[in-house]
Amino acid sequence: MGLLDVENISKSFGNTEVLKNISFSLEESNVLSIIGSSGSGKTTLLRCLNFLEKADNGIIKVAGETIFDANDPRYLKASAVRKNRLHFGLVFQSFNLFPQYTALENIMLAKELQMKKTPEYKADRRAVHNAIEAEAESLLKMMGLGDRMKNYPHQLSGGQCQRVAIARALALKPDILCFDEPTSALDPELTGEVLKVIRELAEQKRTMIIVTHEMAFARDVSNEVMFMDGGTVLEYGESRELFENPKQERTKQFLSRFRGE
Amino acid sequence: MSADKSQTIKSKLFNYLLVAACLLLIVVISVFYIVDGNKNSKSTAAMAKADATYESQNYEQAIEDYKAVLAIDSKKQSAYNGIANSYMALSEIALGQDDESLSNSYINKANQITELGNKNCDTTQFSNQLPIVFKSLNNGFVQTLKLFGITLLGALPLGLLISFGTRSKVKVVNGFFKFLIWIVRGTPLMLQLILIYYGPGTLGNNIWGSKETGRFWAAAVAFVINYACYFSEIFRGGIQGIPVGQDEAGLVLGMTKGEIFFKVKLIQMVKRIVPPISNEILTLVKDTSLARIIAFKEIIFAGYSFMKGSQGISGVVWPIFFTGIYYLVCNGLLTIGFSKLEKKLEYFK
Repeated sequence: MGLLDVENISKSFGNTEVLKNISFSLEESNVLSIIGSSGSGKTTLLRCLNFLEKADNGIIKVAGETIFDANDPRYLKASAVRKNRLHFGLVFQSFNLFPQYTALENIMLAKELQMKKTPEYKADRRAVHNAIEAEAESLLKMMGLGDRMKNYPHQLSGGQCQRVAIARALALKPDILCFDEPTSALDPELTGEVLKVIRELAEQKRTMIIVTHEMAFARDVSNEVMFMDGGTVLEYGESRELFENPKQERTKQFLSRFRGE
Repeated sequence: MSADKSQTIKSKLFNYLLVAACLLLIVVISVFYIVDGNKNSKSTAAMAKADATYESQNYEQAIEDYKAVLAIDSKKQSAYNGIANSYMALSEIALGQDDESLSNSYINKANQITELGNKNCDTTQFSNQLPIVFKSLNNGFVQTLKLFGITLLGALPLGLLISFGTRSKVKVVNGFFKFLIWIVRGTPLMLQLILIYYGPGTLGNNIWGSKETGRFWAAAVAFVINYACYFSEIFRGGIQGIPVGQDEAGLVLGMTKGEIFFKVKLIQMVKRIVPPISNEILTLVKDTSLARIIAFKEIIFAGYSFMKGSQGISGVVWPIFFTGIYYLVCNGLLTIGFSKLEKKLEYFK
């Protein structure tokens, strides 16, 4: 049993089966990269983990506790979903920062709304607010954006926006941080600064799942790699092993371009 | 760069001029209101006193009292009439005392004062029309603004509700609101006004009554429903234009749908809809004139009454032209307000 256990997740859009009985397990502090061609179901899998899509079938467990079961209505209620999805954080390809808030406010908003419902907030809102602000500031500094706290998203570069988005996800202290092609909307020059941040997070032993097309990065930063094709997990293994010694013909074919063969 | 600068200076100058013109007009109107109201209450009191004196048959004193009224308001025709009547009464008394020459001189005086009164209160004269028309148009414009204000207050929130209704996944709800919008946008507002005001009475239950307040509320209901439907379509466009990623970002951060709407999407929607909504609101200011079809006494009604004949003035066209100034001032101020709001929302993109 790992930190995350996914059992038999499947998902269809109309008649198209996008995920077919996906199962895997992820240990704490491990980094899993999901690779595969477009349309292989990588992003849908990530979205199912974050409850942006509701899986048709399957079970998701975090630290042994079931947080989703497609056949148990208890887990499908809006309030249950809202609570359980906080085990995961998600960083989007297109950042999805809130344009009307500064970098700092973007990070604070969700936490502040969460705390508003607690008795602590009612007792001393100033103190709670200050604690959230201090936490957000330290996150931004960690992202190397200490001088950008009061900037609005449109005043930041793509790479800076994505780092704010990472800080925003971290602010809610998720058990597992997910990335959905975090550098695909960035030009090559800005890609580096985002990958560097993710690498630092890996060094801090954060549990992460990364959907990516950056093969070199996937190989270096992750311990495990999942190769998906046509809605199934075709190959799953230790990162270096999978990249250097792919077992499946399809995997070899996919990686051949990357390995320059 | 410099061309850019001169452009902004020019547009600023235009704004300042417009604001100055509007403020001037507002000052003129309010001064007129205060002075006129003051004059009115004073002259009415003096008039009552003079009438009482006349009733007590103390005609000499009555003449003095009526003159006191004219000192306050030289255009009070009833005071001229009062003086003339007093002189006529005095002439009767003189005749009773067989003093024909004195009697004749009183009659003369009565004729003179009647003539003076006719001249001073001649409503074919522009200078005599001005205060009457001004007052009437001001009163009409207050009604216009009332209808405008209540329509905005009702139609903005109702429009938001209707836009939610048209986005509802429940087919019956969704269908109902789409049908309502089709009816309301597909028929003339004037027809809707007539239907709402005269409809209940035709069915045997006149819920509006025949008083001015009834006309006002009937007009308000018609305008609120009509404008809510137009607003709802603008709102719908504004909400749908927001990228779905904003919803998803809010969801993965554990926010409720309400929190996402109010904390994330509302201001983005507002930014998107300010230009089309301001257009619609400027139209609303002018559309209020349609309410005259149910004899609601707004400003066009007031202006038009001087063509048909009202307060001794008839066949006069300039008052109806003059109503245009009120609309221009009102919409000028709104335009400036909206461009300010648009600027304010430029802090994010």
